[in-house]
Amino acid sequence: MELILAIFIGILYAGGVYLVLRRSIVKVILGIFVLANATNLIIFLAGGIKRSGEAFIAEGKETVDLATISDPLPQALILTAIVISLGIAAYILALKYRYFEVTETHDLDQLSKTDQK
Amino acid sequence: MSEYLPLLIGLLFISGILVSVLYPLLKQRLGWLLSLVPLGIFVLLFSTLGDLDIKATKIFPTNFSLLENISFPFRIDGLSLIFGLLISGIGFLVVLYASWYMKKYSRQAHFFTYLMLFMAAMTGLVFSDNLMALFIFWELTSVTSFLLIGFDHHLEKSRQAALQSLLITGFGGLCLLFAAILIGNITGTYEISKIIEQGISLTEHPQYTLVFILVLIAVLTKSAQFPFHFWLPGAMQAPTPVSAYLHSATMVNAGIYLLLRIQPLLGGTPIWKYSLILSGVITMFLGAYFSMGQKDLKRILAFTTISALGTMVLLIGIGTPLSIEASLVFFIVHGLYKGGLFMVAGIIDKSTGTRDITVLSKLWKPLPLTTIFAVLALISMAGLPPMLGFVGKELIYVAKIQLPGLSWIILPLGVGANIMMVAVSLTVFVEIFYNKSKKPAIPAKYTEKQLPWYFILGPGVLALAGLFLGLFPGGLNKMIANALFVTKNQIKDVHLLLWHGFNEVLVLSIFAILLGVLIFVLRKPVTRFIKKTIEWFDIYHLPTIFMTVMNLYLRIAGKNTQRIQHGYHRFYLMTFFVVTLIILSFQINWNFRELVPINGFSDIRFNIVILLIISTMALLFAVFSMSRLSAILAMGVVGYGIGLLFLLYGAVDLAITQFLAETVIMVLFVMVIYYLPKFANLSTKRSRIRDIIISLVVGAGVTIVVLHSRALNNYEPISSFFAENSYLQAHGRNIVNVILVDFRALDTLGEITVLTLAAVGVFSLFRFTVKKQSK
Amino acid sequence: MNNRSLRNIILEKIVGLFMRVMVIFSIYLLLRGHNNPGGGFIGGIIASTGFIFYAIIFGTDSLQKVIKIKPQSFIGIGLLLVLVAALLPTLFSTEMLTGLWIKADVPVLGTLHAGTPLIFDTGVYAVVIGVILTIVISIMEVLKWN
Repeated sequence: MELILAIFIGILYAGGVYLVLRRSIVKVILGIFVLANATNLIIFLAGGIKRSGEAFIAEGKETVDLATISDPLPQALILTAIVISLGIAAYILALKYRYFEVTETHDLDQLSKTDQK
Repeated sequence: MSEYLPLLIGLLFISGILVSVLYPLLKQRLGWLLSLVPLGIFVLLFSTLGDLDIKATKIFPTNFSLLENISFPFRIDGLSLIFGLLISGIGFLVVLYASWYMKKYSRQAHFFTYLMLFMAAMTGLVFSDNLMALFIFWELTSVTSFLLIGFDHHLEKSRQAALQSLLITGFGGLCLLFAAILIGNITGTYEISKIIEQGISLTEHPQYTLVFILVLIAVLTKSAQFPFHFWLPGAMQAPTPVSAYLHSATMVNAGIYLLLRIQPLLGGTPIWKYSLILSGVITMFLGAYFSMGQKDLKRILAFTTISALGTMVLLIGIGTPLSIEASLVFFIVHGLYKGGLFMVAGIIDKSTGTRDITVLSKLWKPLPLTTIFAVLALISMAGLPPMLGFVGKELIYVAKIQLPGLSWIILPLGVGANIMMVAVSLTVFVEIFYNKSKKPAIPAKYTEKQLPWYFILGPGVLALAGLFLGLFPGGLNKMIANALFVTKNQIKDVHLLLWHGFNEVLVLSIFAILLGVLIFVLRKPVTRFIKKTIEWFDIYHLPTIFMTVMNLYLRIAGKNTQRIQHGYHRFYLMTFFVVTLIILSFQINWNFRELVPINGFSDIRFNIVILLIISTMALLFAVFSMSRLSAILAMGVVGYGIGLLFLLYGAVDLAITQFLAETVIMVLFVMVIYYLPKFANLSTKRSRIRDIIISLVVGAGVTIVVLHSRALNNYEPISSFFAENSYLQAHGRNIVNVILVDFRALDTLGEITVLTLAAVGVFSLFRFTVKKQSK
Repeated sequence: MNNRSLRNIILEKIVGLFMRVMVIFSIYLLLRGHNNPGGGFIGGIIASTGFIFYAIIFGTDSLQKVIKIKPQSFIGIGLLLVLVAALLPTLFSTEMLTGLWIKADVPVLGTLHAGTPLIFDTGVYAVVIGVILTIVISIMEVLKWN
C-alpha cells in the first residue's frame, strides 16, 4: 500500500510541477495547490499507515497504546498546513486578481518585463 | 572607580540613541549635555592613571555576550589608557566645538547621534579584550564614520568619499575578522589577555603569514597607509569637527592601536618588521611631500596626517623599545596638534567662508587667540621647541639612528619628511595669519569676539596641553612606561626630556629646520615642482582607479544579475527543480535494493486503490483541461479524494479540515475565476514536452525519496508521549486537538499569525483597488 | 454577474436557517473538540462556510448586518484570546502556554475540566472566522457582489 501511495504522491508531484511550469497564472496557482496536497500526503505517510485507529483516548481510559492508533503528530502538523495553505490560496487568488487587473495579462512571461524597468 | 568604565561606554551608546529624543527638548544646549559623557570617561581614566600599577591590567567582564565565544570584557591597561584618554578628551572638546559649528545644520540631531555612536565604537575598540568584540567595534567605527563623512549627503562628492572610505575600511575590517577567527582557532580563545597569558607563540605557527597579512591589510586600510591612503583626503568632506576627531584620536589611529595591541602576539618577525617599515616609510614621505602641493587647508592637514601615521607605523615596525616609546609619544603629540589644527581650520572656515590658503590672509587681526593656538600647534607639528612635538621628534630621530642596517635609508627620508613639515608649518602660518604678507586682508564674517568661547576652547586646550607637556614631558613618563610594558612586556624607565644636550640628534634637528626654512623661502618654485609631480602621479590617480574598478565590478554584477534574474517565472522554478534533482541524484545510493526497501508494506486496501485511481484521473483532467471551471472542479475532486484517504486511515479531524478547506478554496476560486481570462495555449509543443519530462522525473524522484525515507529511522518517534499524556496531563481525549492547542500551541500561535497576515494582505490588496477606482 | 437572479424565497429562508445551524454546530464542535473530532480550526471553517453561503445569497451588506461585528475585529478578538491563554500561565509563574486547569462539578454534565487550552482554541476559532470572512468580504466587495 505504501508503494501505491508513494507512486500516487509522485503523480501528484509530477502534475503539480507541470502546472507550475505553465505560463498561465491560473494553472500555476492550481499547481501550487496540488503540490501542497502532495506534501501533506508525504508527511502523513511518514507517520506510518499500518495502524489506522483514530487518535482518541477511549472514554473511561487514561492512555492509549500508540500501536493501535494512527500517529497523531503528523496529523496535527498537516492540519496546521492545510489551514495555512487555505490562507495562502486566498492570498494568491487576491494577488492574481490584482495582477490581472494591473497588467491585463495572465501570461507570466509578460511579467518578466517588470523586472527590468 | 574604574569598574564603571563598561557602564560609561554603554552610556555613550545610549546617549547616541537618545539624541533624537533629547534634541527637540534641548536644541542647542544638547551638545553640553552630551559632552558630559566623554568628560566623565576622561575623568575616570585620569583617576585610574594614578593608581594603575605598571603591570596591572584591569579586566571587567560584562554579562553581555552575543555567542559563546563573543563576549564583551573590557580592559584597562597602559596602552588602552593612552588611547582612551585622547579619545575621550578630544571627544569632549569636539562635541562642544560641534555644538556651535553644526548650529545651522538642519540635521543636527542626526549628526550628534552618529558622532556619539562613533565615539562609543572607538572607545569600545580600545578597551575591549575580546578579538571579536574588537572587530565589531572596528567595523562600527567604519560604519559610523561612513555616516559622518557622507553627512552632507546632498553632495555627490561627499557620498563618493563616504562610500570609498566605507569600502576600503570595511574590506580591511573583513580581513581583521578573518584574522581574528584564525587566531581564535589557533589559540582556542578570543580573549586577548588569555592568549597572552597562555604564551602560545603565533609567530611560529604555519598560518602565521596568513594571519599577519590579514592584520596588515586591516591596519593599512584603516590607518590610510600607502597604497590605501587616498580615502583619507577624501574623508575631509565630513564636517570639520568630524575631521578633527577622525584625524587626531580616532578612526585612523585604530590601526596604530591594533598594531601596538597585537605586537606581543605577532610582532618581531622579519616579515612584520620589513613590511611595516616599508609601507611606513613610503607613506611618511609621500604624505609630507603631497601636503606641500595643496591649497585647501584641510587637505594639507589630511596629508600631514597620512605622513604622521606613516611615521607611527614605521616606528612600530622598527620594534625596539625606544621606537615603540617614540611612537606612543608621537601619537599623543600628533593627536594634540592635529585636533587643534583641524578645529582652527573649522574656525577659519566659519569666520571667512573659505579654506584656500592662497586667498586667506592676515587673520591675526580678527582671530588673535586662534592665531596663537594655531601657531603653537604648528610649532608642534614642525617639531620645534618648546612644544611636545620637539620631544617626540627627537625621540623619533634617536630611534631611527639606533636602527641597525636600515638607518641609512630611513633617516634621510625621515629628515626629509620633517623638513617638509617645517616648510608646511611655516607656509600655513605666513599665508594665513602673518600680518605683513602682500595679499589683501580677507574680510571676516565673524571676528573672535562674536564667536562663543567654547568654540575656541578646543584648539586652546589642545595647544596649551602640547605646550605644557613640552615643558614638563616628565608627566608622561609613567603613562608611556605602562603602555610600553603592555606592548613589549618589559619594564623600561621612561625619561622624557625637552633638552637632551648638544648631540647628533640636535644637529639633525637644526639641519632640518634650516632646510625647511630654505624650502619655505623657495616655496613658489618648489610647490610648482611638487604640483607637477603630483599631476604626473595623477595618471595613477588612485581614487579614480579605485572607482573604475568598483564600476567595472558593478557592471559585471549587473550583467550577471540580469542573466540569473531574467524575470521568467517558470525558468526560475525549472532551475530550482532541475538543480534539486541533480543534487538528489548525487545524494542517493543507486543500489535499488537499498534504495527502496520492498518488504514491510502494509496490506493493499482496494477501496483506497480505487479512490487513488479516481483522484489520478481527476488530476490528469485538471492538468490538461482547457476549461477553467472544470479544472478547478477536478482539482476539488483530488482534494476531496485526499480528504477521504485521511478519513480511511483514521485521521478524522484531518479529513474534516481537508473537506472544509477544499470547499472554501473552491468557492473563492469560482468567485474570482469569472473575472479572469480563459486558458490559452501559451507554450509551444517543445516546451511542453520538456516540462512533461521534467515533471515526470521530479515525480519519480519524490516517489523514490518517500519510499527511501521509510527505511530511515534515525530518531525514536515522540508520539508515544502524546498518547500517554494527552488525557492525564492535558485532560483531552482528542490527541490531535490536544497537540494543537496545548503541547504544540506555539506552532498554532505561529499559524494563526500567518493566517492573519494573509487576511491583512488580501484586505490591503483590495482596499487599494477600491480607493483607486473611486478616484 | 448579478446575484439578484438567484433570489428565491425558499432558498433565502433555507440559507438563513442554514447559516444559523452552521454557527451553532460550529460552536458545538469547538466545545467538544478536546475530546471528540472538532476544535477551533474545524469549528471556525464551518462557521465561516455558513457565513459565506449567506453572503453569496444576500450580499455582504446583509451579512454585516447579521453578524454585527466587523470581520477584522474577529481576528483581533481571537488574537487577544490566544494571547491571554498564552500569557496567563506566566502570572502563575510557569512557562508561557502551559495549560492551566480547573475542575468544576456541573450538575447535569458531570465533572468538567476547563482550562486555558479552551480559551486558546476559542481564540483560534475566532481568528479563523475573521480571516476567512475578511478575505471573502474583500473579494466580494471588489467584485461588487451585493
